[in-house]
Amino acid sequence: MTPQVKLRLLASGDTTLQGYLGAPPAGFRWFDFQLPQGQLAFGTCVRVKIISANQLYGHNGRQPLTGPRFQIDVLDPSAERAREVAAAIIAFLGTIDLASNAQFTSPVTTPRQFPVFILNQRPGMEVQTEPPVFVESLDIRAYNKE
Amino acid sequence: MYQGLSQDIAAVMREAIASGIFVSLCTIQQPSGAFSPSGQPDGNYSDVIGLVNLPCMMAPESGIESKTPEQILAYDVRHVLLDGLYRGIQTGWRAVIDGEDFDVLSVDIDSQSQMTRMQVRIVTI
Repeated sequence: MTPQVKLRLLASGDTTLQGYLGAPPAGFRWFDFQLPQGQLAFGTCVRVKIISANQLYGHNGRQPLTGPRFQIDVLDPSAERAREVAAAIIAFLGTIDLASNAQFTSPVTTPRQFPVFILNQRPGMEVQTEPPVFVESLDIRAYNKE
Repeated sequence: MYQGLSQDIAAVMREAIASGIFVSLCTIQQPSGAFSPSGQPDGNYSDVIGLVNLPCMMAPESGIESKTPEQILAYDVRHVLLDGLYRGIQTGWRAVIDGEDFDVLSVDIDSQSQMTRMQVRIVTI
């Protein structure tokens, strides 16, 4: 399972994020890289892309552990709403571990650690629409086991 | 005796209106002027007095999509002719035409002050 799939799977199971982004699976407005046309009309949307992925090495070679860096953009016509959802995502990120199988096997168990790091948060805007769309971007690193 | 062109010029809009070609209705709205606690416009608009349900006709001018890796923006530009002279419409206001909200890009009045034309746009993401 790729880190993009893992992240979306866990996010869609978070009830707080469901309240903001819609009901999974088809209605959960968390998108891989590109925001599909028309989705913003249904409410706040999130688009996610990996902006770098460093491989980790030991003496015996490449390890099955990577450190992908994600950019998570929250889009909404309301700046405060975008910030609110970004805060909810930060809270959610403190509950996940992509480097263990705890949350991806049956039964799901609580991980013992949560190796996700918030590196930066910055605001942005898509200016061509009227009203403009506010973007709150999170820059995170989430260690992932391949 | 030459009587000038003023009657002929005025007749143009009268005939256009009588022909029934102003098939749409346009309401001009202005922003409320109120702001959210963080300083963002509250997104509310109110009708401008005297500019409500103006007969008009609207025609498409251009349509284009701008694709970037992150999103697709669709631009729909229309040309609008109002049924008379309406001064004071400002860019930064919006035009609600047949129930659809458009951003007013430009407003101009013809050289004979008989009609008002607007270029309006809607951009969707």
